[in-house]
Amino acid sequence: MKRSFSERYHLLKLFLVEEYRRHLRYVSPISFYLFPFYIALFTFLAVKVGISDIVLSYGAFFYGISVGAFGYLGIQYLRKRLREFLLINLPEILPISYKETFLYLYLRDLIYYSLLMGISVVSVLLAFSKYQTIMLILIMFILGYSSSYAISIAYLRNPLMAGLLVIPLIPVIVPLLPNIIFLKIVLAIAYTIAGFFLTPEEIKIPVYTSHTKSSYIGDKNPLVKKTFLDVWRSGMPIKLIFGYLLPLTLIILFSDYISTTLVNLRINSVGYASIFGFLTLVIYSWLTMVDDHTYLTLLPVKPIELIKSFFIVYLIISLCIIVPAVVAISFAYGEIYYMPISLLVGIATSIYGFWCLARFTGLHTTSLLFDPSVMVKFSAAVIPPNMLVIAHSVMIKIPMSPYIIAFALSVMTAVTYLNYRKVRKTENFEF
Amino acid sequence: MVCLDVKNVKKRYGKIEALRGVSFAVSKGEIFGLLGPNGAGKTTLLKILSGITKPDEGTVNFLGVDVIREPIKIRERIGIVPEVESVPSYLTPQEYLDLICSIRGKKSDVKKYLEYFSLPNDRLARDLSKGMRQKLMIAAAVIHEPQALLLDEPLINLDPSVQKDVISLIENFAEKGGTVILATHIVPLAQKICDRVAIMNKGKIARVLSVEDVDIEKEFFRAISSP
Repeated sequence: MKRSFSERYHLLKLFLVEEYRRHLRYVSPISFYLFPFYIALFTFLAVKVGISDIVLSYGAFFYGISVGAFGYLGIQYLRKRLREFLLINLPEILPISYKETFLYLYLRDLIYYSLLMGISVVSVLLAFSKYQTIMLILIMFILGYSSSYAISIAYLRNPLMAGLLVIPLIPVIVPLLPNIIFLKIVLAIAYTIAGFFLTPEEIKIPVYTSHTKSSYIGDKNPLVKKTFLDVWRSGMPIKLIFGYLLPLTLIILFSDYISTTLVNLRINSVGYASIFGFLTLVIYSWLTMVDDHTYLTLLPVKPIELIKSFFIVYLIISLCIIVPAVVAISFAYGEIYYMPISLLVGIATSIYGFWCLARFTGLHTTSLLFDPSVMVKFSAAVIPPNMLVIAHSVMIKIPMSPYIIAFALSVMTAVTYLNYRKVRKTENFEF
Repeated sequence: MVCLDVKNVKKRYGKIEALRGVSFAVSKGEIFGLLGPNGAGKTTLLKILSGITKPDEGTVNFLGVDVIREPIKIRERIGIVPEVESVPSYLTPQEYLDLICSIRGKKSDVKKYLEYFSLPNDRLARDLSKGMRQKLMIAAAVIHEPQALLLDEPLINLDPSVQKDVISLIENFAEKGGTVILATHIVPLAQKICDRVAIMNKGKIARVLSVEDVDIEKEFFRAISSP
């Protein structure tokens, strides 16, 4: 159906208004309007420390990746996982295609999230006359955003296709090729076009008719068994490969490149163990999203019981990732003698992060991390001890460093215990 | 014997007064209807009775439990069918009912309930039709043989033959001494199965009527049209 420009403009405006109102629902108005100030402060510090180019451009790239993944998120909305009827659901009842709807989504998030972060970043950079940095972060944001759009849309069709689309990004993340801005622009345009053409005209929400053999739930730890069934049946193992292991490999390649070529200070296996432990936190976020748990409000169950069940499942999955990853990197770097401390650091970081997240976000991790005040508290709790461990792992041969790492781990253990107690006593968590 | 005693319950969501001082009592073995138009406060009241939501003011004593102080304890004794569909996506009906029994620490004949409600045990709940999921929610509410049932529009999405089965299940439950609180806006349903009905409007109980004495439909429209 043909639409006039003013009709398209009006529709886009409605998409923007919807996103703004949804966003405001997750966070308090004060937090929402304070957000640009936090970003401005961060930008100011990055400029003052002299790392604005690298930190802000890669920050913009990863920010773009996170907000552009609506090909995947869109399907969650279409399934009404959030129990809402959103504008993306319009093709169900009105003569508008999914292709067109996703295009509005693309434009909406491009405009909305550019403004949300961009104004404060650009204002600070303008004050320091850093025009080249402004251009760089803009291009990196659009590249991250458009690649995420195309890859997540491709994922809807075929996970393998999504995997193939990641390949052109590797030279950008790990700058093997000369830093040619023109190439990045071409790549961003190519991803946008690919995303548009890969979006299907019709999206059929799969109706599963396959038969599933009932498993025995049993009397012991029913919520743990239920969570394992959720993990397996929701296809989380595939998500782990594309959403965790692949980015993890890219991060290792990227940080290896940065540390060996730019700062000439190589992160060792202890440092990587800390990064692995930190990154497992995404699994907690997935566990809280895997199913709608409101049915538990009807039963004599407290939210802490579900959080404890998640912890057991989280720990098992995390160990399955951290242990082989640490062993592999210890062998690869010839640092087998560090392996025990690396394993300890990885596991302790993962457990520490879990209880920090549980304390600050309960069972609504994804939506509450939109709240800048929660995000700031969480970052303040998690980043310093991790940075301490990573920084001192680099200098592990210096006599004091092992003691400082041991100190950081002791603090993390003590805070984990306090967080656990706090979570256990908190009564206002919701399913 | 009074089984549920609600006194002066008030609840506010921001500027909206959802409940404005609700008081009533229900006897053991009674089917008590909460009848009212959309937005009357029925669902909020049911959530408060089941301890899911805390009121701003007032007291609720249900089956000898102070619901506001001990919300978990009341949920051990009652069964709830919520208005919003709420079943876990990745479990089969059999697994879900097993889970309910495990959490409640009760042994029950799950297969009997699967057969009674004609529920398949080899499909995930997300693959069931809306009606099937509604039946699963009703089965989950009764499988532990509760002392009371809180039902919010329980017949929604059900075909007429299943509606008949559910109505007889509710009546049998009450005959055996169970108490039922039924929130609905379907007047004939309230007239048919309730012993008494509280007509709610704008967060208040306008009238409490014995179904045998009056034409509920007439009273309902009179109550909701009065200022």
